[in-house]
Amino acid sequence: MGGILILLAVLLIAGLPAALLFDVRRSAGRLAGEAFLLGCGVVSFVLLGLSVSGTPWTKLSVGISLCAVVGVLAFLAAFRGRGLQFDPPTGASSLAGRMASAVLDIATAALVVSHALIATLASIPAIDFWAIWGLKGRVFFEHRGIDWRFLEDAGNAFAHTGYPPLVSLNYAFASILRGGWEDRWIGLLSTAFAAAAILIVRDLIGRETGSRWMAALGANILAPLALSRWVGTAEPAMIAYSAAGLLLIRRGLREDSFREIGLGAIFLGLAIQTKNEGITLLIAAALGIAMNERRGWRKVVRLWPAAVIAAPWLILKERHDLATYLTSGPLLERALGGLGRIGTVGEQLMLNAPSQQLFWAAALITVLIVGSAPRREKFLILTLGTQLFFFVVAYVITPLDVAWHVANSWTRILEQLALPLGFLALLLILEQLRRPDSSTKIAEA
Amino acid sequence: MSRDAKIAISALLLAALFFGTLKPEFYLILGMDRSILRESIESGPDSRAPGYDDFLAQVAEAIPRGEVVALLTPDRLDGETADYRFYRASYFLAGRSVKRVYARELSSAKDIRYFALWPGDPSVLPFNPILHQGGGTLFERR
Repeated sequence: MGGILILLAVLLIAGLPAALLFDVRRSAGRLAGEAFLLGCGVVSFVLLGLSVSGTPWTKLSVGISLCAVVGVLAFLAAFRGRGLQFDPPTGASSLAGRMASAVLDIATAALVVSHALIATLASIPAIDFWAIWGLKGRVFFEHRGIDWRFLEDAGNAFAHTGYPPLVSLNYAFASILRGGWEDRWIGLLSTAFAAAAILIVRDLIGRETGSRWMAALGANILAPLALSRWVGTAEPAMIAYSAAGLLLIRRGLREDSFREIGLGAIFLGLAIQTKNEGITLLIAAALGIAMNERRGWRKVVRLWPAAVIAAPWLILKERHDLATYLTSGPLLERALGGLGRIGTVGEQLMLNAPSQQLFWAAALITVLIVGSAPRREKFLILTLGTQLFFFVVAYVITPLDVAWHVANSWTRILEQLALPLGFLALLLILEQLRRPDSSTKIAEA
Repeated sequence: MSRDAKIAISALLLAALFFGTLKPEFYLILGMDRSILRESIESGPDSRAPGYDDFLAQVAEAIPRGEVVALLTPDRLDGETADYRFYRASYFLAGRSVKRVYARELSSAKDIRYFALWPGDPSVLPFNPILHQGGGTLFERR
């Protein structure tokens, strides 16, 4: 366990200079969350770069490369950033407010600890871990680099060899640090991704509401949405990157902050580096930005960091002809054929209702009944709606059996949308509770 | 809508969000005997083929990294079971190249040195058995 705690600390430190490059108002918690998420991205690119250059991964080669990259980022941050300055999201609050927030924060921390206990009970049993994400991490670690022959072998297509590598590379990194493969304590990475998302969300709620206890309450309510049951898969990372990306872009649009949008775009890029759904999420976010305001399309270009981050893997994937079952083969033919089974897709979606149905019902009702929400929150609503549409399109064009595909993914991928949707619903409710005779104050603040 | 009604509806929605996001396992895990759950999780993947994981772990120790190992698969084995055994072998034998070879294709696997058979009759193969573990045997072509 000690090794994995060192790993988490290394990831946090590796991402700190990158986070400090962005001169934004943030609490220490948000900085830690962002640093961890960025650190996982930095590590994945260092390993990817070493592998492409033909340098075997050793403690020495990885250590030197990581120090060099982090050193350059720290040098840049020293000139561009504000250094380690924290800006708490809320001002002074009463003793009762401070006590309430402390109790709520302890309750949220207990949820994170509970998740960590579950995540590390035993070797990760999820088939998606040992047949996809963990398998590739282990293969890469044993090979001391990305094993292109393994990925190119059609017999290994079951491991979804065309899936993005961020999570598997971080598993390999953990093994490099430890000096051997380990598949129990590595579950803590899933918890850490969730904790990072919770810290970011808590900060953002605090800035929107100006209330310490509401920030703590919001983090407590939304924490289970980040604490995914899919330990060992890429889902916890995807939830964290997509939520961080969308919520920071939303804030950037409202404050017209290039930096917030840029940081959000980086997280969307890392979402693409995590799961293929990240590509459609970027398209959805671009559409959301374009439709958010008049001439909004001019701001779409601010998403360029996402494209830059996504490009290396997408190029390598094409170069090595790695399989992605959804987009390979006669796509147009399948799409046309799929139109005939839209009814079947709809039926299967209804049969596989999402878990946490009370949450989905409450969140959707909130967004619908708060009269001006669709107008005020165009970006988030359009982005989430478009991504949902892409999810359904995937089932229409899938080469797999529709019933099997829906049953094995629908409830899981829906969780990627839950945290941003819950965030929006929560803000709308808190706004009503604070200013019941006004419906627009928070959004317009 | 009156202010009181707005507050009441908002409070109801907040409660629905709170209870809607709850995951009972986060509370149950704190008060339960986790060793029982641990045993249950640990035996999960192995329950489809008891002893198979131990066999693969032994095979991994016996075969050097970089080698190719054939996972001999009975011709009549159903697809799902064959897939499961192959995926599991790929995980345990990471670092070696695992090939799924059906019994009928054995003659075409002339370049492969190691053959893992689980379970099955070891006398069917004309190679030297170098490891017996549980119901499995590892052979080496010499």
